[in-house]
Amino acid sequence: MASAIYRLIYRSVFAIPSEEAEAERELRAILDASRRNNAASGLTGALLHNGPHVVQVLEGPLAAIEAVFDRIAADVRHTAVELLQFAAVAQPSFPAWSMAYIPQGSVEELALLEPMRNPGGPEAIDAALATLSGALRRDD
Amino acid sequence: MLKVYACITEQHDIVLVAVAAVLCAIGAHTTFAQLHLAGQGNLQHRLRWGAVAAVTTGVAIWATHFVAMLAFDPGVPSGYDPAGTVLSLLLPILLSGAAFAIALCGPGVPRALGAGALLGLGVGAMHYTGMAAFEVAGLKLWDHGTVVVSVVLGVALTMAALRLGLAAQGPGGRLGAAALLALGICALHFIGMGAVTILPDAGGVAPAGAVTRDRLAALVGFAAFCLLAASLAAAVLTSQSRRRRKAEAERFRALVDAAVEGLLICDGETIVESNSSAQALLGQDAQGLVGRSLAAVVQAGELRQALLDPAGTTIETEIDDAQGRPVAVELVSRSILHHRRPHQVIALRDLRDRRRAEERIRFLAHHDPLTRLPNRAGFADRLQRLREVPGRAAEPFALLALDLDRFKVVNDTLGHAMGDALLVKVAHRLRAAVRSTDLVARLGGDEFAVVQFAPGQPEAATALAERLIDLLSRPFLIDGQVLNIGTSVGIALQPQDGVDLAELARSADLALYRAKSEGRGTYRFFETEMDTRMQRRRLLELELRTALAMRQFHLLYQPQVDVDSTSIVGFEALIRWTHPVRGVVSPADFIPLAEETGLIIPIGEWVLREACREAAGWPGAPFLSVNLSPVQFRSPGLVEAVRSACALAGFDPRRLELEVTESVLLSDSTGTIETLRALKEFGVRIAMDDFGTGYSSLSYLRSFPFDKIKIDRSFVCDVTEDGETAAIVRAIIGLGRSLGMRTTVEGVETQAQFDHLRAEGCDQVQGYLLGRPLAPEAAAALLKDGQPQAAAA
Ligand SMILES: Cc1cc2nc3c(=O)[nH]c(=O)nc-3n(C[C@H](O)[C@H](O)[C@H](O)COP(=O)(O)O)c2cc1C
Repeated sequence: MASAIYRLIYRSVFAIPSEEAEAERELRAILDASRRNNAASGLTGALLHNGPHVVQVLEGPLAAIEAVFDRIAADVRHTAVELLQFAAVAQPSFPAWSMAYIPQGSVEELALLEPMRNPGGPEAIDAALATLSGALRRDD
Repeated sequence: MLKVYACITEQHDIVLVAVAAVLCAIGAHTTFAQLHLAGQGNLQHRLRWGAVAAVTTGVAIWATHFVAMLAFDPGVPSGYDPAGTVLSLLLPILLSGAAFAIALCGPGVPRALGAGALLGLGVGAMHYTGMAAFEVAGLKLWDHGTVVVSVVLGVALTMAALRLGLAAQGPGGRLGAAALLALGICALHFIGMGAVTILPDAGGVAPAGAVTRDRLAALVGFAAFCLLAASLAAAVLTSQSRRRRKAEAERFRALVDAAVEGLLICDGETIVESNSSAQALLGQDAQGLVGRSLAAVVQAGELRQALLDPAGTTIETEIDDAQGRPVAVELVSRSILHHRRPHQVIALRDLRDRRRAEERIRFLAHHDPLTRLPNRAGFADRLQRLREVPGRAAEPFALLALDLDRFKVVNDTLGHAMGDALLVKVAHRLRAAVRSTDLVARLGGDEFAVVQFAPGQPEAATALAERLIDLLSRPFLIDGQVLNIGTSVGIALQPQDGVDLAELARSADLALYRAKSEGRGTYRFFETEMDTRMQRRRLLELELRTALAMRQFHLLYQPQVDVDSTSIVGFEALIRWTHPVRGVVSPADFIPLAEETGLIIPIGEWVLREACREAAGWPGAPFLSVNLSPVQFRSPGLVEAVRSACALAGFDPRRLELEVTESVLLSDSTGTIETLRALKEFGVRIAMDDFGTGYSSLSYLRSFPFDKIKIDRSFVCDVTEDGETAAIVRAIIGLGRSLGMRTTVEGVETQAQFDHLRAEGCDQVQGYLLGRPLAPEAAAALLKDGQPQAAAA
């Protein structure tokens, strides 16, 4: 039996405000670390940056997800971490990305958040993520 | 050669020749034994035994000559010239002394050969000066060719002897060398004898002044023999005792090296011995230590002085190891006799293992094994030490006391393993939130503390508290589960909120208490006012304890009126406390504290007994309402207390109505419901008090067949004006009716309210309109007189 794939989605407030350039650099550092660590521990996912918010999707084995979330949840570069989904899933939505980056303005955050907010169920979330990864594929 | 052979066989007594040869052999053997011995010591030793060997060798050569001369028959009268004879003894001694000096000064073949040549010349010199001192009554004719042969052969043989003897490793080599030497001496002697021909003088008289040959020769031979024997014995004994000493020294060494402790033996300040442990500890070999000053090991002069004191001492200090790293050691010194002189032995005990063990024990004593954060003891210790850092003592800091919210629920419902895993993650987040100079500790259970060293207070502590609250409010993922907890934070600032840790911690705890009571998930700074309030609480608790004993409580009774008949149907017993100084204290001011401290249990029992006693004989037998606190439900004796209160007063339990609030049902409801059932079985009625203030959950009403619902006074004020309130009251009354429960409304103050409630179908009312709380006598009198005035109007 292959071990189950879990998905974790959370939203938080990015805490590097003042300077654009500095925020950019900080985000780069986070993405670099994410790609390096996630590839090593078999995780995939996407990071969406929109306004003050960050929405991150992480997919992979349970232990790896919990380990990376321990680090993310101890990171003071963001605040108000809000869990949106944590569940076993049949298929990862971003199997090709150790951490896809969806920069400011490219996707409506609401497109992702709306199905999670409203009782659309897991299917609605899956559908939203599929749209998102489809968009990524076209971009590449 | 023939001549020599003939000389030996014809002119010599063959037995004495043999004696001479034996003497020579013994002498040669002794020579090499002594040379071997001489080779194994310091300079002084070499000189001593070199000189002995020279005398031995010289005497042996000389004695061999004399005994051989004894065996020689010149055929004419003969004697010895004393001076020449003495010279013939001194020359071989001096020459062999010179030879041995060369040989013993160093190794090498040229030296050995040179020394051998000198020795051979010594033999030759002896022989020919001896022959010159041999006076005969005749003429000595010399065959010079044979003389040269004798010397050359003798020298060659002694050279070979020393070459072999000095290089010899074992006794076999030395025996061979001795044989060569003996052969050399004999060869020179007998060939030399063959070189001389004595022509008898016609006068034939013994030479004047010469010592008679035979006696002297016998004497000398014997004395020489004794000397050689003694010399040989000395050499043998010496070498034996040296061997024994060497074996002993090796045993001692082995013993000393086997010692785990390092050992140094000092003569004054100079190290003269060391064992392998000391060498290993100091990273030096034996050569590197011996001869050095103790100062190379122990730098501090006064320590050295103490160590070298003959009285001995024990010191703990640090010394440098081979790499210059400090090593904790214990130095124990004591004086001993070494080579018959007082020395100081110093034991070096490596304390690193012990220190490591101590360090480990300290760590365990000062840390929480689960989170590896300092525990309470470790926290105090670390803070103390941080403050001892120069310049830090005066630095202000903030102490943040944390208490996890909802941790106990996780621990109780998901198990300790989950709780422990959660605490580890909490510790990790706390560490991430502070700077490395700050301090995080787990004080126990779900209590943590953070010390923040930062200027710019209270802003810095505010930011940190917000960060901590944010971090701990984030979800925790453990084994696929999502756990949500949070934290409350109390902050005290040094120095204004306390100078020492105990005082600061108390202030932070008070602030934490406030944060928790004001909604959790938040922080509060300590305020002096909290402290005074806390002190007031403590005083109040003390006074409450004495109030019972001092009979400072009494009861008042407020009438409850039937809405339809407007007649009094019952009374609610209300407690009052008359404080000796402050006068009457409101129950609102002391009941919460009594509940917190558990004092509500004896107070509640007193209320039950007193109310039953006072109301037992009232006319018309109205019912009696008594309030029960949720805390009383947690005590196992409640049912028994009610039973005994009724029994003691002879009070009919069917007249007793116990009022409980929703919060009673909130806590563990199965136990509570059982208690309620037991009370009901006993005949007591149960009322739901203050309905509408708390959770007002209908499920509570359904969970137990209450006899009555008392609607809270807060609904009464605007029941006449506010439509929504009126609707709620109407709904509750309707609900009560559908569940078969009567309804009572408290706090009725106006006729309008009364009329409104009557219209809604409420069963009973209570309030100032119907009667204020009365003393027991007044209540009894009222019952006799009849109905309350206002309602009758
Ligand atoms: C919004 C946000 C998202 C992050 N996502 C990841 C991630 O997916 N994987 C990861 O390893 N670290 C992530 N990090 C960084 C971690 O908090 C942490 O800094 C990092 O894992 C440390 O890795 P390093 O020790 O290799 O630098 C994220 C941080 C932030 C603020």
